[in-house]
Amino acid sequence: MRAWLYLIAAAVAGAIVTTPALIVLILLGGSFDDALVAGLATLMIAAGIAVVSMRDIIRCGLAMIVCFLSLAGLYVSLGAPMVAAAQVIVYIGAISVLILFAIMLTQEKVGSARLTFQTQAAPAAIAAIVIAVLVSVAAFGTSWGEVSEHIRSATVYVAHALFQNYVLVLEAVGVLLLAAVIGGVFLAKREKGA
Amino acid sequence: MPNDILALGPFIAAVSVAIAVLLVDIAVPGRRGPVLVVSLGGLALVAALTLTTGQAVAGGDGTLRVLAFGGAYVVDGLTTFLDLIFVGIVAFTIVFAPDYLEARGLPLAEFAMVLLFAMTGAMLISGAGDLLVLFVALELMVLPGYMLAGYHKSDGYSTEGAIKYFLLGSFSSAIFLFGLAFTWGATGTTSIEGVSGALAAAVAGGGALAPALVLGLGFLTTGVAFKIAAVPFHYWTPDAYQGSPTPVTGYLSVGPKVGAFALILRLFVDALGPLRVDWLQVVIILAVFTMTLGNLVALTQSNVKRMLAYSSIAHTGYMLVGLAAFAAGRIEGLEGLLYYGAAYSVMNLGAFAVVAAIQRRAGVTSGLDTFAGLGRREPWLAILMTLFLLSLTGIPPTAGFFAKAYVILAAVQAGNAGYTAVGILAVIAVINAAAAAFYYLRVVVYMFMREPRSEDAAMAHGRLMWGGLVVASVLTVVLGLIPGPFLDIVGRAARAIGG
Amino acid sequence: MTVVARTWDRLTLPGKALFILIPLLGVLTLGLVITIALFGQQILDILIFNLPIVRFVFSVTILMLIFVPMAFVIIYMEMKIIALMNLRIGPDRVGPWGTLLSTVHGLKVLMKEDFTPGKADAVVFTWAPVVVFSTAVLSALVLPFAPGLYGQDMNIGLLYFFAVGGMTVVGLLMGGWSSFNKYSLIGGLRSAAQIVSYEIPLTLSVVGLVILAGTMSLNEIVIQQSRTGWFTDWFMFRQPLGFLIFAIAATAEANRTPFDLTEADSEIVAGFATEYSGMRFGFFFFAEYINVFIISAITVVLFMGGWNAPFPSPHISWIVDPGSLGLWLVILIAIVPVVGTLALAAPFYLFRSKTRWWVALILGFVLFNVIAGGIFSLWAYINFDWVAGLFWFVGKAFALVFLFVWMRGTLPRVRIDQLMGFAWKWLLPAALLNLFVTAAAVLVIDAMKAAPK
Repeated sequence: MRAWLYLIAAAVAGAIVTTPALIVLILLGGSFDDALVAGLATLMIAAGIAVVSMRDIIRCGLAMIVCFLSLAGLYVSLGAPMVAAAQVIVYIGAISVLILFAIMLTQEKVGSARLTFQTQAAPAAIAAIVIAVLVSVAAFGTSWGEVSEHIRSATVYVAHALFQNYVLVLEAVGVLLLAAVIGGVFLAKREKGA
Repeated sequence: MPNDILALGPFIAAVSVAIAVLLVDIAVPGRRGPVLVVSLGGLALVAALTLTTGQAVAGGDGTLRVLAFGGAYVVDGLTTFLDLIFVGIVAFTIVFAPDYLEARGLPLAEFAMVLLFAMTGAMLISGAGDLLVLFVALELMVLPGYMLAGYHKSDGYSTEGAIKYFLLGSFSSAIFLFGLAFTWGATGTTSIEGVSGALAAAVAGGGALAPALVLGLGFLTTGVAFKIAAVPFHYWTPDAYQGSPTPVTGYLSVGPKVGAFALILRLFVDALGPLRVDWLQVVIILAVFTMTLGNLVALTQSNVKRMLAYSSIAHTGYMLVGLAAFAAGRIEGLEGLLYYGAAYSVMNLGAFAVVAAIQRRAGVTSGLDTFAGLGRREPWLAILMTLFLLSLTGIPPTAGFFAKAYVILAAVQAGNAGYTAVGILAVIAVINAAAAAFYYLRVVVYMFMREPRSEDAAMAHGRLMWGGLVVASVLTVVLGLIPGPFLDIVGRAARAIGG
Repeated sequence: MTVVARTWDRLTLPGKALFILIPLLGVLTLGLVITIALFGQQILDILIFNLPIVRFVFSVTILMLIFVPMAFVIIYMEMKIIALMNLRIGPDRVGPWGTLLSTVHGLKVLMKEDFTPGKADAVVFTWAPVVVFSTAVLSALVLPFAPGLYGQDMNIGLLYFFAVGGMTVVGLLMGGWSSFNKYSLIGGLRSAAQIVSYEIPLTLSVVGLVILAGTMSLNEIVIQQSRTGWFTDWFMFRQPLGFLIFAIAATAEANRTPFDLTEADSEIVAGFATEYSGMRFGFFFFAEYINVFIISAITVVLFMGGWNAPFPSPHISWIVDPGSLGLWLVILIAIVPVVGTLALAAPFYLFRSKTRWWVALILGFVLFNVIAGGIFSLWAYINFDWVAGLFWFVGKAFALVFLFVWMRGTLPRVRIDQLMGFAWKWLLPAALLNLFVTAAAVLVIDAMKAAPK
């Protein structure tokens, strides 16, 4: 019986993700790009809601990975594959994995894994909705002009920007990372005899 | 390119000093002498280099503005002035720290090194000519702060404070970055000059601001308000300050705060200057709440560190008054803000140094009781503490009085010039300054008019600690008595961006 | 209860699903045929309009289709070669020299009971092998198999490869956690620690190469290695240290001996795969061997010239248009095989009296096919770049696969602390050194070139 439930759940989830994509595909004259954006955006929102609403913290982490992955997909469909690759390497390959790693090392699987911060679910939801509305109002109410042209940039331009206009930022990031590493090592280091 | 490197000289020197401390600690681990020599000597070097760079690159009067790295770094009078303040803050912190740290078995080398890294971040903020530099520099400045707050690893309060500081700090950084992204989107450039130009054009063109810009401004204000701990974004302050080791608290109440004000100068005054009228209201409201709430809550505190934490919130409010006066068209407001920053740094660091000195022995709390009878036990320490507290209150002839007077005067002038709200702000600031006397003087009362709680013997303090305290107290008095020469420098710095 | 209902009850769950799915599939196929017949042109237009996405889906499908047989081949190789190294016979029952054994293994895995432990997190448990397998397949998307024969040519190909390849660890962690078994969990955690640690020297070791090549597109990197046509152009000779670091780190990334701590059977049963059975285990198993191939292939692409032959080879464009032959074509197709077979059968029949005539005919037919196939392959090799490229690419890749198998047959397993220490204390500094030296050398050479003579 459970197997059937899983199948039904999977079908519903698939339908939720694909329906906007199909609608966009049909309405906007068969551009798979637009459909892809719609599908990925839906997936991202669904995964994001799953992250904050599920009880099992490991599943939350995995949903977060799905969220990051669909964001990477959005970057690709917006013409920034470099950013997408960085997103996958950094946020999925490193950060999420380390988060999962830490949770798995510390958490008891048995017993309730209910997150304590879910007690403030309602205010958080309201805040999230307000910010979403604000951002979308701001984004749609502004004529972005030439800025939107800048977005499709190849790796070469990223390199030029990094090593010419923003070389100081790059160097400063180096110093920042050095400071962070030293601080992190100090905090994580076990005292002798402790 | 060589000129670019030259302009960046102080920053590079500061990074080198930090790395030198690291290497020294690797070569002779656990010794405080070499670390102190290298870090303090290095700081002197950085200060000298800052001065000569300011002279050589930016010209004698400092109003000349030199761009390096394609405009990403700026050297002008403000850069030099702020850099010197940061060097001073870090030097004082390093001088005051060793006794306290040693008593608790905490290493000095990592402390000094991380502080120096924080200083490089602050120096980069003061010379930022690009929004991205501004953000990375901000992170570079606050990240070591998180680690310093949790420096006492075996102490639960320290860890708690560090985690609160870290979570809210990174949260506010994210908000700040979001705001930067919107600003970039609305103006199409990340360079501060470019943003300023684009906004000036937009304002001149008339009509309402783009919604994205408004939202970006809101996010930026929120992020910065977190960093300077303005009410209602101050919740992290008391716990982070009380939990941290006392020298760290002294640094946290001064370094990141002045750094964040440097950020405000570069971002709001410089880049968002054309929108002055729009953010003036926000600054006024923030200033009112920050002063009033900070003082009211400080009145009820029985822990001196926590009391100083809330009082530092109140001081943020006074500095915001200066900012408001500047936004209302008075350059004196900016001068007052800069002067206030310097004076506040000295007196607050001094006060915290006394607290740290009293906590020389591990396990001594910073409660008000600890100060009972200090005047009998350690008269010199008590006298110095009184001086710093009087200065924090704003009693003449100390630096604190002059700073408050300057800021409030500027606000009054702005009020006379038609900005009634700013004038009212000045009144509120005066009332607040009077209220603050209650809790500052209560400590003095405890020190001189209460019997010692226990039979604690007087503790020996290192020469370094005494030296630092003497310098701080002399500065506190001198800045208040003969502010003239110093005001010249402040004026130059203020004219560099506000002129 | 009617007969129909009783029969329905006797069906197992997969049976019920199939019973519904097969008619559904039939209806869908019919619908698809009708749709294509009616709107073929429009659909084609849409597909052409969205060529990049179509190409992506198509190449992933093709890769999946190739990789399962490829895994069978590698599994067989491993069994047989290690057996020979151990002086055993190895698989010899199914198929000639036991070649079909791994295929049969695969079928067996399909038919085994698919078991989920009682307290396992069933959803995560099911998705874990899918993630592992699909990341393996997806990361192969950018591999250039031959000139013009690749899934996608991205200008960030190398970055993509590392990004997708690094996601494998998520699947391993999922499997390890959801199994509700301490050995699985330890295996998953080990794999996470190991892969995250080795990812850093792995990525850093190729940055020097990227500096030399000036691109991250794998296709371009291969072309860069064919300046003179000789094997000395390969990056393994210009980046020896990088090559060494990459090879070691890649071995660890693929969880192969001597770094196969995630499934160290003497310590933690089978690591993250302990609780897996049936086809879910099969996915893990296939993914592992696909990863061996992919790691070999990426090493070949980056450091061993990719599809380039080690020496300059003649390229003759000698394409015969079958239509121009006219009647000769008929004669060629109808007569040459017969004549060839007879001609090759004749010597056996004539000079060895024991040979029966039909045996001689079979021999002749086989021999003819071998010779004709050889001539045809030679012709294709000389004529088509991609055939030659594919030959060298697959050849080199399988040589490396052999090396991996050899290592597994020879080397002992390292200890976990040695493994981590090695990555952070030796490989990472070495990779940084390599990067530093390469960058400095490039600067110096550029300066020397720019200097007035």
